[in-house]
Amino acid sequence: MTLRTIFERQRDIIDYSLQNMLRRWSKNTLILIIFIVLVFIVSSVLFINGSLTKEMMVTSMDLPDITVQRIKGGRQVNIQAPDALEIEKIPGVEAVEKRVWGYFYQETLQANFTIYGMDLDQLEKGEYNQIVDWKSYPDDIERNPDFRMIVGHGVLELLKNIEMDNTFLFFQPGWQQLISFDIIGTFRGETELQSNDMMILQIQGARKVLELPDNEFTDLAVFIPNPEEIDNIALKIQRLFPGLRTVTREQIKNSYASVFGWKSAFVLSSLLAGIFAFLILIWDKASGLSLEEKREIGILKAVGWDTALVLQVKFWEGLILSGISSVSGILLAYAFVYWLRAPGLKQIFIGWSTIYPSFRLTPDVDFKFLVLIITICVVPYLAVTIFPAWKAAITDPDVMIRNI
Amino acid sequence: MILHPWILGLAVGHSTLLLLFSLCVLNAWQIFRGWDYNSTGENQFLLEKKTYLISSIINFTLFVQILMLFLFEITADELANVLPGAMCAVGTLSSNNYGFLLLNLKIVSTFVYFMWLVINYLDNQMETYPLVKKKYLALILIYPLPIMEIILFFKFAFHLDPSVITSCCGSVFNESAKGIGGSLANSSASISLSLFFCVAFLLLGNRYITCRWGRGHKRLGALLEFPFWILFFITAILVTISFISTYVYEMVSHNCLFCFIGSQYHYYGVFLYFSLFIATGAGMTGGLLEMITKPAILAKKARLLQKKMHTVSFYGMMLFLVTGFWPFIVYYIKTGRLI
Amino acid sequence: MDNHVIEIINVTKTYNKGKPNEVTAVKDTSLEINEGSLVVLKGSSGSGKTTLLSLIGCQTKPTTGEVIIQGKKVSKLPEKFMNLHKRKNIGFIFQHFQLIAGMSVLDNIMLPLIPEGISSKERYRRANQLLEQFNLTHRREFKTSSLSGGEQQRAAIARALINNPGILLADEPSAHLDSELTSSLLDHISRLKQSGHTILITSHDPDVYQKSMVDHIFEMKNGQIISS
Repeated sequence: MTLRTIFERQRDIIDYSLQNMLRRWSKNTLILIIFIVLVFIVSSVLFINGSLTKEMMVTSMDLPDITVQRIKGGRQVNIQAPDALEIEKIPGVEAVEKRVWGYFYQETLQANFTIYGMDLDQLEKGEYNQIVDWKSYPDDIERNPDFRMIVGHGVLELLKNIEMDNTFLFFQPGWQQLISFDIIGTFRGETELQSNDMMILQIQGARKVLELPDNEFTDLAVFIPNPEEIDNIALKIQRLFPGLRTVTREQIKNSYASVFGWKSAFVLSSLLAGIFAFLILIWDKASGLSLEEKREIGILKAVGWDTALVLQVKFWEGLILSGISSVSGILLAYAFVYWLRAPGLKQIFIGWSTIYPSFRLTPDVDFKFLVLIITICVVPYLAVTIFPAWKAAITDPDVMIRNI
Repeated sequence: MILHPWILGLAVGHSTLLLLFSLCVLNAWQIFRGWDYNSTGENQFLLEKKTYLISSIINFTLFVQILMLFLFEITADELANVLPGAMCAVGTLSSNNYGFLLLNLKIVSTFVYFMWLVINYLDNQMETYPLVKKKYLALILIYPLPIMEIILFFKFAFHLDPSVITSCCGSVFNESAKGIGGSLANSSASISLSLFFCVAFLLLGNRYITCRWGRGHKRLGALLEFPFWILFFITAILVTISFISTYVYEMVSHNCLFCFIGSQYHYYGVFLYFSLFIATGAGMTGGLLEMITKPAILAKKARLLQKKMHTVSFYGMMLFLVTGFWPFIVYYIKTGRLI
Repeated sequence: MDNHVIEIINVTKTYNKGKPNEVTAVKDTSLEINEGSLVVLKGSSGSGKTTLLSLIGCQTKPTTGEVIIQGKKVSKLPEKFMNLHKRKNIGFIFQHFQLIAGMSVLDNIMLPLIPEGISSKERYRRANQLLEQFNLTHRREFKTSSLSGGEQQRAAIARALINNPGILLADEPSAHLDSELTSSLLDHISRLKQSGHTILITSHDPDVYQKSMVDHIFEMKNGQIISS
């Protein structure tokens, strides 16, 4: 048989399969709907997982190579300036940044913000300049340069509700007075996962809000130019300073990825029961041939169709059905996750975030998800249909001659 | 053990494969025991119908196997995010003893399923199904492949430990590293290149000679194709590690077999490995077909199919050469120097 | 020496062998049919004539014995090769016509050509020719369920002829037709005989087997040919 006739024949078989399915659309509709829902859930979970992992990868670039904390009685306490000087002396360490940060709970909004102290003048000059939208202020008002801040996008949206999107007032019971900060910029969208609940305060102001003494810091960020040395230096710090704890960037990254992976696997595992039920339904539908279908296959066999050819018809039917379901399920999931922002599902994944996050997930759709979706949804479906399809295809042609 | 969507996908795929294959083997055993061409009993009719079931399943199995090969590579790549020290698939695979073993087994199974299907196709051309018993016996004999695969997979998955630091392509294929990966990359590009081209010329030369010479040599030459193509596959992987990859990544020290499969390199690896698998699969099958000598009419059909396999493997090889050396040519033209 | 296109040698067909509902439909029967002849198998219902026709039409395999069609022993061939032979040599007109209800007349007629991988152009050419010949062109796109009995009958004949088979088998072709349609059917059959087809018909209708164009009449009873 030449390539042309093979092609010609396949086209006719597909044609027949399509016609056959359309004639029995009511039998296939239920399967189609359930199939679409399954693909939709699986792809939604995978899309969210993929986007979160990617976002985490992007933000983790900015993480320090090693974060050093002081531990006392199993709790993290403030770190002293001399520790930083000692660590800086370790060969291979390029720089040690003394960081000031903490959390602030705003009662009216019932939201928890991450506060980070930095020198904003330096930030304006440095590489971070590009990820901030700077606000301009008319310069006639006198402002205290120690009380300026930059906020995440989500924070700004929230602050609009309490009309504090220009000036934010920090207050806690026990304080003598309010501390007011001017908002001078917001972060751009690409790094929303971590900057979403973030307030970057001028360092002197941050110390006031966090009630941190002048020679103490929250933790240290250690920068090491040679990535091969990071683990060794972390070990060395722990050996030299028994009271300090080190966390490397890799450790943070891996634990985030594990959490995302674990969460999506958990959702998918609970879906397996659903998939299993679906497979039983398919088995049932595919095995229960109606008299009419049996007669039709008998006719096909009688006019000279081979078992293999009828099997091909069944195979194409399965492929068309799973193709339509997969494409629609994936498109629906795309719309659900990236346009509607995955209401319902998102909460499962971002449980650690205490603010009501409004972050967009940046689309990260790859060929690799298709392979996984096919493996989880389409492969079991086709596998379950093989045996009933064969049962149908071996119908003897003389069945319809003798019985009907 | 890591609970992860990709691991879950692999588990689903492997279980499906094993279930279907078991169904196949059950029926293959019945056919092997009960096949009697001269019988006109209903049992023989049923066995004949069962051959269709088995062909369908093995066809599907090959499709899933190829899909799983992809999925396994992607999984290894994705899990690198979770495993400390792993930067890409190599890190995940070498994080325990089972990763590379499973990958190798998967490649072998893929070729075996392909060859079985070709032989099955050939046998189905004959009215008497002369190979029927051998073919189903072979199917029963390769049953350990999917079983081993699922065992290795679960061992691999259970031994993935996020708290153990693994090494990655930087160190596995690093020239200073000990072990097989290191010595592979260490055997410098020129050695692996010459090995590769030796095998390629041996193959083509052997083919040229067998075309020219008489029957006796013809048989030997055709049979030799089988081991030659295995060698070709291995040396092609060597060349990919030590030469092709450096030009794809445009870095001397990056010798990874997997990183270029993904979207960052425009799925370059998919095309590269596709051509390599097609060439090797068709080439090996061509050699295998030479073993079929009886009955004469089947042998004649086998020779026809063998010719097709030879053509396919030749074009596959050419495609591999073009795909593989394209980055090198582009780099050389752009910069006028080697890496 | 006559040219036998169909040879049946000591054929027995048993259904459900070894089970309580075992039925032997054809018992140790032999039969030879010459090329170009028109043969009628008559007999009461249950006499085994339909089973014999199925055996000749490669729709089923004999339990014992040989079926030889156009010089080829088909009884032992695997399904695939039997089908190859069937598609080349045999056209079968089934009782109740057996057209697929939801499909158009045209698609029904072209069904036997799909396994051959014949180009759609050639398929349409042959189908249109047959539709014309059987006066069905105006029903081309109609679903077969909406056709009259006579039209269904003609569509069934057209489908049987689309492979240009040398042998035409018809199972009780007149069973569901009135006398007017029966005579038109017989006209078609006589024309097919004149064009060289070998035709085998089962019937218990005297209108059919008493025609002068019939070359042979075999009578079946209890799975055996009792007279010819």
